[in-house]
Amino acid sequence: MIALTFTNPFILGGMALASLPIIIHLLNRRRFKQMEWAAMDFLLKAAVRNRKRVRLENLLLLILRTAIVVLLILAVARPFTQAQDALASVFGSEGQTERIVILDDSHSMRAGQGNRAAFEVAKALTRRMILQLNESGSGDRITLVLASDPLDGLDESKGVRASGENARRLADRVQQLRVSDSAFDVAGTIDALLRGYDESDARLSLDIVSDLRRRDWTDADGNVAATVREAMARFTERGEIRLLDVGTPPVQNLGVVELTSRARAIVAGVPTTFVARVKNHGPDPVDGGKVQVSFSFGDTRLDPVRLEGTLQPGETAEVTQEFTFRKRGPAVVQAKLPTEVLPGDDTRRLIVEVRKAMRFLLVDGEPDPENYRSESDFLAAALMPPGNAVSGIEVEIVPEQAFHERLLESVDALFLLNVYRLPEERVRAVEAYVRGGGGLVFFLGDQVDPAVYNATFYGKGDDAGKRLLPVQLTEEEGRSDDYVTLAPPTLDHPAIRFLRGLNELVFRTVHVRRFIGSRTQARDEARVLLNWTDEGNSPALIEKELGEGRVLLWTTTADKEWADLPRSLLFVPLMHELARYIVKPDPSETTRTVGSPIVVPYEPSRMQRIARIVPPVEIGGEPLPIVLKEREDEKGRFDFRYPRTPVAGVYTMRFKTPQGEDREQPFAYNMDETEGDLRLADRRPLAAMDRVSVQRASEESVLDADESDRTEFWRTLLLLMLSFAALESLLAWRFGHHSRRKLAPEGKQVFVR
Amino acid sequence: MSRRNAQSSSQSRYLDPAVLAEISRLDLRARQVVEGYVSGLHKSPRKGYSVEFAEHREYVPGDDIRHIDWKLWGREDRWYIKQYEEETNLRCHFLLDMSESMRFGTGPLNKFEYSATAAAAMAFLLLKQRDAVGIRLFDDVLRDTVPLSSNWHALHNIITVCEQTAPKKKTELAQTLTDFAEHAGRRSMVVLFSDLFTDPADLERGLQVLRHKRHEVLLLNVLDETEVTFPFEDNTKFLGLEELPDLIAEPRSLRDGYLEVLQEHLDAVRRVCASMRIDFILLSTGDRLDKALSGFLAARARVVRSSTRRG
Repeated sequence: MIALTFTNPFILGGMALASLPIIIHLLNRRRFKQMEWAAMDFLLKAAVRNRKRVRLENLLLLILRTAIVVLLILAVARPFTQAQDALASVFGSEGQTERIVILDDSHSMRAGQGNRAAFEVAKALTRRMILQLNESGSGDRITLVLASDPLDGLDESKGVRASGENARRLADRVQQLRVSDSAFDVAGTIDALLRGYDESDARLSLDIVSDLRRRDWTDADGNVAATVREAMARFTERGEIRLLDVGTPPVQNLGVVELTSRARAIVAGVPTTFVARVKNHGPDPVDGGKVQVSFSFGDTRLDPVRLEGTLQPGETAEVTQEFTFRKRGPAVVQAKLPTEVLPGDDTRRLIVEVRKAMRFLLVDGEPDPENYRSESDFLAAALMPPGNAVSGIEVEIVPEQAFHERLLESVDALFLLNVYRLPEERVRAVEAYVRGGGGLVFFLGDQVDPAVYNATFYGKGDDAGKRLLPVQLTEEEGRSDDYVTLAPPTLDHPAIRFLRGLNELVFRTVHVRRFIGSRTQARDEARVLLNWTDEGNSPALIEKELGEGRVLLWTTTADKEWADLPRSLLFVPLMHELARYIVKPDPSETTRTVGSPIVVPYEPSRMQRIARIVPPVEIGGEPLPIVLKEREDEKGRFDFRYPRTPVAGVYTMRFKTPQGEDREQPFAYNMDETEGDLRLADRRPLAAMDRVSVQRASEESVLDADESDRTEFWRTLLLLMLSFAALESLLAWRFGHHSRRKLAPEGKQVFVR
Repeated sequence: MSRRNAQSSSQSRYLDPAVLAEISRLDLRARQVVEGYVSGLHKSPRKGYSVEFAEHREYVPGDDIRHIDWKLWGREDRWYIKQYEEETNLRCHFLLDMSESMRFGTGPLNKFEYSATAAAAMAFLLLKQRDAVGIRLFDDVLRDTVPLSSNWHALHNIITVCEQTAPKKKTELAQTLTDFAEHAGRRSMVVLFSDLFTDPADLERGLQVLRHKRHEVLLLNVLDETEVTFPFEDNTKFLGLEELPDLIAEPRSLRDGYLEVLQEHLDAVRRVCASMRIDFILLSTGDRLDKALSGFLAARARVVRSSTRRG
C-alpha cells in the first residue's frame, strides 16, 4: 500500500475553493442584463436546439475550472509517496497491533558518522515510523519507550493510538529528545516492557532502534548475552522483534573509568592523593603526552596532568593528583578529559566527606599517670603530635575499665593496647563495629593471655577464625636477650607500600626484645604484612578484613616495654599509614551510576521532613522537592527517594536540621564506565535468533529517504493544471466567445422579367 | 466643380442612418435622402423628369426643338425627336409593418423609423416623377392609410401618418395582405416593409394573393443590425415582444444557433419570393439607405418597362 503524504497538508483546506467556479457560475446565472428582443422566435428555437450542447459545454467548462483549482491546491500541498522500503512495509500489515518502539538513548548513541550522531538518525527514524503509522491509517497503537527510562516511557506515549494530533505530538516529542548518560540495559528494558503487557493479550511487535554496541548486546565471547537472549526470547513469544541498526564503527574515545582517593578518610588540612584511571576505548593507540586530565576539587581547579607513555587500545593508565582540603564537609572531586565524541565518559565525579579529623579511641590496658609510662602515651603522641602540626587525627584515651561500646559511635578506629580481656558483649559490639567499617588495632603486652585472647577474640569451634583476631596466638613467646628487628616487607600491600624501597638500615632501628608467637591456619583470612627477623621470621604485623572493617595485630607492645618500636624512625609514619589504612571509610564515598535513584534514610534527629534535590544544570538545575516514602520492608522507617537521575553530574540534596540550619549533601552520578566502549556487537548471532530481524538503517537510507525516496507530484500536477487551463481557454473560445459566424451573404434577390 | 463635389459628398452622407437620425422631421429626412442619393448618381435632378430613353420618332412641327437628336441628324440628315419614357401613371403602394417588433432597434433608427424614412424617400422620388403614391400601415389588420395620389400633399400625408404612428401588436401578414389586395384596385407596385417575423407560409399566402392580383411586389426585409449580427456577450434576459415569452441566456453560446435559425428563415423567405418572382432585399438598420433606394429604383424601372411593354 502506498500512502500519499502531503508536505503542506493544511493547504488541503483550500479544497473548498474548488466550489468557486460553481459558485461563480451560479452567481453569473443570476446576474443578467435585460433587453427587449424582437426576434424572440428565432432565439427560442435556437435555445431549444442548443440546450443540450450548451449544457454539455457548460458542464465541461465547469469540470475543467474546478479541476484547475483542485490541481493547483494539490500542487501547493505537495503530495508525495515514499518509496516502499523495508521500514515502511512493517506498518502496512493487517489487523491492529500494539507497536512498541524502544529508542536507545544510551550515551553511546552520541557517536555517529560525520556531524550526525546515531541518535539523530534514530530519532528521525522513530519519527518517521510514528508518522507513517499514522498515515497508514491502520489504527495501530504505538508505545515509545526510552532505554534510559523503561518504566516511565514517554509519559504521554503509553499506548498512544498513532492517529492525527497524538501521533504528531509524539513525533514532536521525539524530536526534542536528547541522549541520556545511561547505558542500555536491553534485558531489563524488555522485561519491564513485558510486565506492562502482562494483562493484555494484544498482538505485540517490537522495534528497537539502537546502535547495537557490544557492551549492551553481547558477552565476552561475542555471543548474544544470555540475559539479552532470554529476554528477547520471552518477547518473541508475543511478537516479532526488529532491530533497526543505526550503529557506526567505533571511533577514537578515551574515558575516565575510575576516580578514587587513596585515603579511606579525607581530613581537612591533610594531603590526600586522588587517582584517576583513563581507558583507551578506541581502536588506535593514543600518545599519553597529548592526553591531559584536569582535576578539580570543589571550586579549585588544578592544572591538567599528562598521561605517561602510550595507551594501547583497551589499556588503562593512572594519573594521580594530591590535594589538601581546607574545609570540612562534603566536597566534589572531578577528573576531566578534553571533550570527545562521548562527553559523558570524559568526566568522572566523586563526592568526598572532608572531616575535621579522624577520631581514634585508644583503650589503655596499663594506664599510668606518669608521662610515657602508660601503654598509650607513645602512640598518642605519634598519632596526635603535640604542638601546631596537623596530623588530622584526634585521639581519645580511655582505660580498659572505662571502655564502653557507646564510645565507638563517634570514632573511626579502636586501638586495644595490652588489654587484658573484654566482656563478651563488648567484644560483640566491637565486632559489629568492625564489620560496619570500623578499624581495630591490637597491640599486645604482658597482660595478654594468649588462651584468653584466642577464646574471646579468635573464636572457638565453628566460630574459630571468624572473629576479630586475625590469627591464633601461641603460648610461645619470642624472647631475645639481644633483639630482633623488622624485616623489610616482601608483600605489596597498600598499608605498607611506603616502606618499599626504604634503606634496610631504617628497619634496623626497630629493636624488639619480646613478642607473642602466632599460628596462621588455612582458615584464617589473614595476611602477614611484616615479619620479625628472628629465626622463624615470626609475624610482626598481621592484617585481616572483617566485613567492611579492617583489623591489624601487632605481636608486640605499643610502648617501650617489649620493644623500642616507638623510638624507631619508622614508628610515626608507620602508625599514620596504618591509621589511614584501617580508618572507618567515608560512607558517602560511593560510585553511583546514572539511572539509579537517590535514597536517603530519613533521620529525624538530623533532618526535617522536607528536602529538595538540585539536579545538574543539564536538566534544569532547579531545586525539586523530594518526598518521604515508607520502606516497603520496614514499616515506620522512611526514606527520601528521588527516582530519576538521567544525566551524569552532581545532584545536591538540601535539607534543614531540626534546629533549622541548612545542610547540603551532594551525590555524584557517573556514566557507566563501560559505555565508552564503542565496539559494535556482531549482528549475525542477533539476526540468527528466531523471529528477530536486523535491518540496517543508516543516515542515507533513513533521513535522506525523506527527500530522495520521495516521489513528488507537484510538477505533474502543475503541468496538468496548465494544460487544463489551456484547454479551458480553448474550449471557452470555441464555445462561442469568439464565434465569427455570419449570415450568409444575402445576395440581393432581383429578378429580371 | 469642387463646390459641386463638396456638395454632393455632404449630401450623400444623409444616406447614413446615423446621420439621418439627427434629422427629426421625416419630410426633411426624405428630402435629404433623395438629394443625397441623386447627387451620388452625379446627375442633376433638374435635367428632366424622365431619365429613361425610349425611342426616336420623326420631328413634326410643334415639337420642342430641345429634344431633337442632333447626332442622329448628322448621320441621317433628318430630324428625329428623342422620345423618353414618359411619365407613366405608376401606382405605388407602400405597405409598412407597424407591429411591435418593428419598434425594436438598437441603432440610431429603429426598424419602423428606418422603414418610414426609406418609404418617404421613395415617395419623394416617385412624386417628383408624378407617380401616384399611397401608404398603408398594418399590424394584425390594416391600419392608417393614405390613398394613392400624385399630388405633393400625398407626401405630406404619408409623413404625417408615419410620424404619428407608434408600432404595436403582432404582424398578421397573410390576412392583411389579402385584405389589402381586395382594396388595392388595379395593378400597381407594392413595396412591403416588414421584419417578416412571421411564418414564411403566411407570407407566401399573402404574397400569392398580391401576385394573383398582378401587383408587382418589392419586399424589403428590414432587420435591426443586432438581429443580423447578434453581437451580445453578457448574460441577458431577452424580453419577448409580440406576446412571446422571455428568455435568460448566455448569448455567446446561442449566437450560432440563432444565426442558423435566422438563416433558415431568410432562406425560406427567399425561396417564397423566388417562387413568385418577387424582388427581395434584406436591409439592416445599419445599412445606408442608397441600398434600399437603388433596389427600389431598379424594381420601379422594371415595373415601368413591363407596363409600357404591355401598354
